[in-house]
Formats: sequence, C-alpha cells, structure tokens
Amino acid sequence: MSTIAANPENQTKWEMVIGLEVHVELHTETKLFCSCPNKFGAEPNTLVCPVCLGLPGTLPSLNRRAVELHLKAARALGCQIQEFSKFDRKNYFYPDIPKNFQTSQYDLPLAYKGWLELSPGRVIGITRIHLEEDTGKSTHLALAGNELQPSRLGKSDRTHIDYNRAGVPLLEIVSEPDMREAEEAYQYVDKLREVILWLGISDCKMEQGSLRCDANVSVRPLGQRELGTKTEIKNMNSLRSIRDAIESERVRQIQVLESGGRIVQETRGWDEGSGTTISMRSKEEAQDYRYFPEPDLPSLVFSKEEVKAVDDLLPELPAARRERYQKAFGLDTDAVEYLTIEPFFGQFFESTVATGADPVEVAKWMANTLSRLSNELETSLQDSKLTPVSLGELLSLIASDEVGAKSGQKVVEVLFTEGGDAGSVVDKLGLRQLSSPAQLKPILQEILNENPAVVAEFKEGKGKALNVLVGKVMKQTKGAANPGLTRSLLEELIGESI
Amino acid sequence: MSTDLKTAAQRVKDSGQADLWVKPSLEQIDRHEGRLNCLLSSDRNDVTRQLESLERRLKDGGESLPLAGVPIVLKDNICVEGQPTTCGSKMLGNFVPPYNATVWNKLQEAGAILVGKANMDEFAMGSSTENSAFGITRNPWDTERVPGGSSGGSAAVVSAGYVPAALGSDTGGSIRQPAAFCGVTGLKPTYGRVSRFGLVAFASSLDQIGPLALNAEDTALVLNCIAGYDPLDATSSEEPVPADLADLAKAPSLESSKIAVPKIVNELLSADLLEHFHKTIEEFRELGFQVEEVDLPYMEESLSAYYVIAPAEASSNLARYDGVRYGQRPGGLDYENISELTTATRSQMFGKEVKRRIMLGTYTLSAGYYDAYYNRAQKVRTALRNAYVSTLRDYQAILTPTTPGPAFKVGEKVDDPVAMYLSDIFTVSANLTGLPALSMPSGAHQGLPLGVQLLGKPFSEVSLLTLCRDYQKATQHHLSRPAVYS
Repeated sequence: MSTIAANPENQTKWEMVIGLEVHVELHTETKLFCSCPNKFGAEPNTLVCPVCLGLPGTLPSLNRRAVELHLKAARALGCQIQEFSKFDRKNYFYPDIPKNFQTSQYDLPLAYKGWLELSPGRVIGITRIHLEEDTGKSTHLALAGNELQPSRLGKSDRTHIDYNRAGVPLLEIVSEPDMREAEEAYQYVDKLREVILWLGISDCKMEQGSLRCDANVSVRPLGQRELGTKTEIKNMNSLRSIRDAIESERVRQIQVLESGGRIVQETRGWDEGSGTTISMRSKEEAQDYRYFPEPDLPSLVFSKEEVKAVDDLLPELPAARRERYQKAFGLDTDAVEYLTIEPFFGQFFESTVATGADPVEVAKWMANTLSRLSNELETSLQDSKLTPVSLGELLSLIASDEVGAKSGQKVVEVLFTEGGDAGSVVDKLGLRQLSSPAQLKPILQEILNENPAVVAEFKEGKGKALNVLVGKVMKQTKGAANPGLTRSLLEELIGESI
Repeated sequence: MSTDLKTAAQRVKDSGQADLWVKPSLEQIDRHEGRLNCLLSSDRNDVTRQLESLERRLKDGGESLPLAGVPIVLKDNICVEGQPTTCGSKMLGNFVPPYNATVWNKLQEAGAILVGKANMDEFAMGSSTENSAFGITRNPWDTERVPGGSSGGSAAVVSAGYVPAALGSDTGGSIRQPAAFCGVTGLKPTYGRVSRFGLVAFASSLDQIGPLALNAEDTALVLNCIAGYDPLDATSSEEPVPADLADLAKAPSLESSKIAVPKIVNELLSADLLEHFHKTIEEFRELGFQVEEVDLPYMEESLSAYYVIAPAEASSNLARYDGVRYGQRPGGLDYENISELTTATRSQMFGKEVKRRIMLGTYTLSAGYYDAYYNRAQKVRTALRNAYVSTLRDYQAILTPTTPGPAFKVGEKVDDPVAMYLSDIFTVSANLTGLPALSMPSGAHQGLPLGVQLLGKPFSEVSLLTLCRDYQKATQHHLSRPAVYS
C-alpha cells in the first residue's frame, strides 16, 4: 500500500467518484457464435474452429442460451429490456481478436437502467448490460537468457496467443458513477458476484478471469457537481485489489491536485507489488472503435410477454430471501447471511423447517455444526448424505430430551457421512437418553449406596458433591442419562434418605 | 454442351458416363485458357476424384442428382475444402480453407463437378476483373475488352463454353454486369435466399451468391440447388424455395403483366444505346406485357450510398488480414512491433482498389463522420427500399439496362475510379434494397453483347426467371455465342 497519505486537513475537502465496468463470462456449454466448448484450462488453441478463429467466409450463429442468461442477469439486476436491440462491431487491431473486430453491443444494448442494493437504502445504478464475445488471451514473455518469462506489457520479446477464450460469451455490466468510497466498490462487486453466482450463470472466478473489473475513478472538491477528470484502472485481480487500487488512486489524484497538477485522462494498471497504479496509456492515443451495426446477425427483438416469462422463472434473490427469513422465522442477521451463501442452503433450511423443526435451531445447526462438518470433511452439504428429514427428526429427538445436545453432534456426523434415519443412528450408537425416573432411579440408588461419603459431603452442604455423583451416573450409563433429570432425582433421593 | 442442364444431367444418368460433359469441358478450358485467363485454378486430380465419387453414386442410383456430371466453375471467393481460395488477392494467395461453402456442399450433393475456380477483382472490388492480383481475364467476345466484374471469370467461362453454369457473387452488380458484358444470364437472388457461409465477405449486408448460365431455365435449376435456409448463416431466410425453380418450363406465363421502366434511364444512356433499350421495351410489348415509364427516385443517390456502405463494411471485414495469419511477411520477422508488421503486410499484399476502399470505409465510420456518411447512407437505403417496394406493388418487375454501355477496353477506366463506379448505377439498387435482379442478353452493340436487368419483389426469383424465359422463347439474343464457343 502507498504509505504517503494526503494532507489530513484536506482529507474531507475531496470526494471520490467511482464507476465500475464488470465483465462476466457466461457459463454456457458452447461459445457465443460457434459450437466450440466454453471451458477454462484446456491446452492452448484446442477449443477453436474456423468460426471463432475468424477464417475467411465463416459467419457467426448466435447461441440463444447466452441471450437467455443475459436476460436473466438483466432482470435480476432490475434492468429494462430493450424491445429492439442489435449487435455492433467494435473495430480495433489487436492480435488476440481473430477478426480484428469484436462483436459487441453499442447504442442499443439489450438491457439498461438497472440497480443493485449494497445495503438498505444504498443503491448503485446500473447503466447498461450488454453481451459481447470475449477475446483470446495474450501472454507476453521476455527472454531471460534462453528462458521465456512473463513480462510487462511493452517489454516483451514474444507474445503467445491462446484463442480458446475467443468467442466466449461475455456480459459487460456498466455501473453509474454512484460509488464514493473504495469500500463501496468492493461491496458492489461482491454483491454483483453474489447475484450472478446465485443465478448460476457464471462461476465468477476472478483468478481465472471469468469475472473482471475495471474502475473509472475521479475526485472533485466536495460539493462540486461537475465531475473531475477520470482515470481507468485495470489489472485488479481480486476483490481486495479493487479496494486497494481505488483507494491508492484516490490518494494519488488528491496529491496531484493539491500540488497544483492536473489529472491526465489515461488507463492505469494496478501493481500489486508496489501498491500503486501505473500509467499504461493516455487517452490521446485512444482508439476510435468505428462502431457500426453487425451485418452478419439479425437484430434481437423481445416482447413484453417474453420478458415476463423470464421474470416468472427468476429465483428469489439473496436480498429478498434474507428479508423474508428475518420476518417469517425471526432469524438474526448472521443466520440469514449464512443461509443465503448459496441457493441450496435456503432450500435445505426450508425443507427442514417444514418437518416441524424450530427455524432458529435449524439455522444454528446449519451455520455451526453442518458448516464445520462440511469444512472438516471437505464435502458440501449438497453432496452429503444428510437429508432435511433426518435432520428434522434428530432435532425433534433433542427437543423431546430423547437425545442430548452433545450426543446429537455425534449422530449428525454419522447422518452426514453415511445417511440413514436419525432414530436408528441414535439407537445404533446407544445414545438414547435415559429420561424416565423409573429407568433412572434404580441406577441412582445403586450409585448412592456405593458412595456414602460423597452423599454425606452433600448433606453437609457441599454442593459440588452432587456433581461428583452426576459424573459417576454418567460414567455408569455411558452418557445416556439425562443430566437435568439425574440431578433432580439425585437430590430427591438424598432428601428422602434423610 | 449443346443442351439444357436438365437434359444434360439426364444423359449422364442414363449413360452412367460421369465425364460425359466434364471431358469436353476440360478440353475447351485447355484450348482457350491461355488466351482468356478465366481461371485461377483447375485441379485435375481433384476432378478425377470427384468423377470417381459420382460414378459410385450413379451406380447406386438412389439419388436424384439434378446436376449429375455438370461441369461447374465457382468464383474464387467461394471456399472449397482443400482448394486454394484466393479472392484474387496476394493476401490469400496461399489460403486453403478447411471447409466448404454451403453452396458448394449443395452443388456437390446435386452431382455437379467443380472444374475450376474463376478469376475476379480482388476481394470482389471492381467492375472489370482488372483488379485481380493474378492477371486480367479477357472478354471471350473481344479479348481487347474486359469481361466485367467482379465475377468476370465466372461470366467468361460460361460465355466461352468452358462450362454451362458458374457461381458468382454480387455486392453491387458483380454477377449482372459481367453477365451483360459476356452475353450470358446472371441472377442476384434476394438477400438471404442463398447461404453466404463460405463466401469470403466483401460487404456482408449486400453480398449474395448467384448463378450465371446460358438461359433462364438453367439459371433457375442451379439456383434451386443452392437456395434455402442455412443454420450457419444467420441472415439466410427460412422462406421456402418454390417448386417451380426446379422446373421453370412448367411455371405459368406472366404475359400481360405490368413492367416499370424508370424515367431516369433516358438521361443516363447515350442516344444509340437508348435506342437499343427501346427496342427491348418493344420486344416486351410485342410479347403482351404492359411496359410503363415510372418515376423512381433515389437512383443517383443509391450509387453514393453504395460507395459509403460497401467500403465501410469492407474495411471491417478485411481487417482480419493483418499479417499475423494471412499473406506473406515481406520483411520476414524483422519488425519492431505488431503494428509495423501489419502495416507492411497490408501495404504490400493488398492491391490499389482494395486499399482505396478500406481507407474510404475507415474514414466514413470514423468518429465525427459517421452521421454524415454511414448514417445518411443507411437513410438513403431505407428510402430507396420503400420506393422500390412501393413501385413493385403495381408492377411485376422493373426493367432497366444492366449497364450504361457494353464491355469497355482493358485499361480504359483503371485510372478513373469514379467512371468505373458509374458503371454500377443500374445494379447497386438491388443490393441496397435486398431485392432479386437478373441480367439477360438483349442483343449486341457494335458486335458486343448488351444486357437488360429485371428487378422484382422479395423472393420473386421464379417470376423474374419466368419473364426471362418468355423473353428468351420469343427472341434469339441469348443464343448468340462468341467465336471461341463451339
């Protein structure tokens, strides 16, 4: 991180304005315009065909599934859908775009005017969401002796291009310049990721590039309406680096302005090592993309009915689900956060509650015991053998004192790894509590008879002596005795014997 | 081959002799190709392989094979797997596609035999075939003259009797203009009627593949084989292919229907050529058609709009030829950076006309010029289509000359691009509007063939070809052959 901070007295004088462009690779079976598999991590240039390599004479055929996923994301993010939209060509020369133009959407994106809520009352506008084809991936290498090593842009001896990624469907989600702090940018991407993951339309792995983020950052004197000159920050490969890069850029811009300089509109790359942004190219060298309508693809037309059909199929989103759980089940914030980590958790929770279990207890068990088991055994809840019915049964056995809470932990581990119904596992493990006075009394009497000295101590007023007796009962019954009942029965029996 | 395609294919099927027509075709090529230079390649080993395959299919006898053993030539911008597809450019001088164009797949299914690939203006940009990087093609009627373009090779091979039919591509008249110059029949189908998959793009919203042949029936038969929806071309139409195309002879006559002639034609032709055109109008009247003059606006603007839109799309379509994957690197690998490599390759591998149009298109799409050029051209395009569609509500077809004059001399217009562009004035409208249009021979002027164009409603190819058939039944113009034809 940058160690030089702006003059603290001036800190409040400036306001930062942030807008984000997030690219999300859609998780379709095949690419956007051909039938090549859409997969990460294959040998370079093995997932290619004449179409995605842009060979002469080939033409794109649109993958309708990608458009469906686009619509889904757009509606989940509150966007309007353009009744008539189209693809356009974005023309620029770069070796990793096979045709030297990228098929994208320019003036009529499919989706516009959406929003994302960071926290109650804090809403960030989404300007537009459009669909485009991803480019290939360039790897720049420099010769060090006879070895090729990764190099910085512009300093390379060789560039290797992998076209496996060329033509992968990509959503570009452009926010309004509504964010004011680096932390908000962090939250925005985090929430956006949550929604996209929730819809199951992308795996959103920043480290693999299936979610990428560029930030437009400017500062202005507090109270000024006009925006300051912005810079575009690239190369942010994690949520944390988004926050750190933006904060570092804020500090840099304020320093420049306070020392009488002016901000140059340019693209800057985040350098994790130095914790600063570094100038990559200034806007004066910027491209004129010469957009024009893509003549090889028909325009997209969506009726209100088609949009409604998308809405009808949308799942309940995490924010709405959290609100509902809090209201309907009286759960606290931590519990609902946990239950909306992934859609399946909510399904499991609601199915378990449907067996009659107490919602607060179910949530507690899921967030504590099941989460721990899942981590320890490296098995997700979904892949485990535990069913809502067996968990519900176990909780009901605990509620009726037939199984102790501690024993329940052992039972659920077996249910998690081996399955079965809770009752049989309890019996198999011999964990059913001795909960009737009739069953317990003979055992207790025996213990009392064997330990007259301890009994005497208790009678003399040493309360701790009772614990010793309870311990002995537990040992005798291998933990199956109901502890509360044992205590009160022991007191009762000793009292009788006076 | 002195018979129609239908009979020719039937004879091959009856005789079981796959090379019945291919053999004389190859002989005719060998006899005249040295002088005419119509073909960029003619792979005889491949012809042998195709014939062997056809023989097997003939023995099996299960297929209809409407073009059994018919020798055919494709313009060299139509991809054929394993065969060079150069587009008449040094840039693709060594390009061998690993896939077939949909049209070639369809012709192969029909039993046709590819005997060669036709010369053309580089990337289909030109009206004379002089822009080919691989030499000029000569007009079979007069070797001092051009065959037209850009499908000059495709028109010349039919005219010279190499083959009875060929495919060309038409972006602004590139099938119809050389058809007129070489005295053959050529059709640009409705946009979307024929798949463009495997056609190396010039201007995607205007390009369309179509047949050239000696008469209406043969043209119809070839179109029938290549037309139809193709999932590989999102702009191809699902409109069904009418059954009459397969047997045009049976299509009912359109006698007494109305034909429109735009008044502006009178201003665009010299006196003797106008006189000739009026003779054609008379011939139609004698056949019972009602020919009327109409006001058809935007014909002059259409040429300007065309020369904005076509280069704009071309500048983008040709961007992929960047020296990384195609062409040769004039300086080996001795470049400072990728931009130098690209510049050097494009400067040396593209011809003058291609570079001119790439620059035009890049300019008109640039920020600040887009609205003045590209957007305005699109508005002209919309207005033009409305005007044509409206006229075609009252008329079966619009009749014009195909070109302002007959084939010009080699070299006559190479240094005057605007004069060259003007020869497209009657043809570009069909591309801008997407409407079908054909050119057919209408007689001769000083020993050189002339053509007239019939333009019709969307997907009215059968009507246009029926008009052409009826005209050819009553006249002899399409039967004239140059001396080399025999």
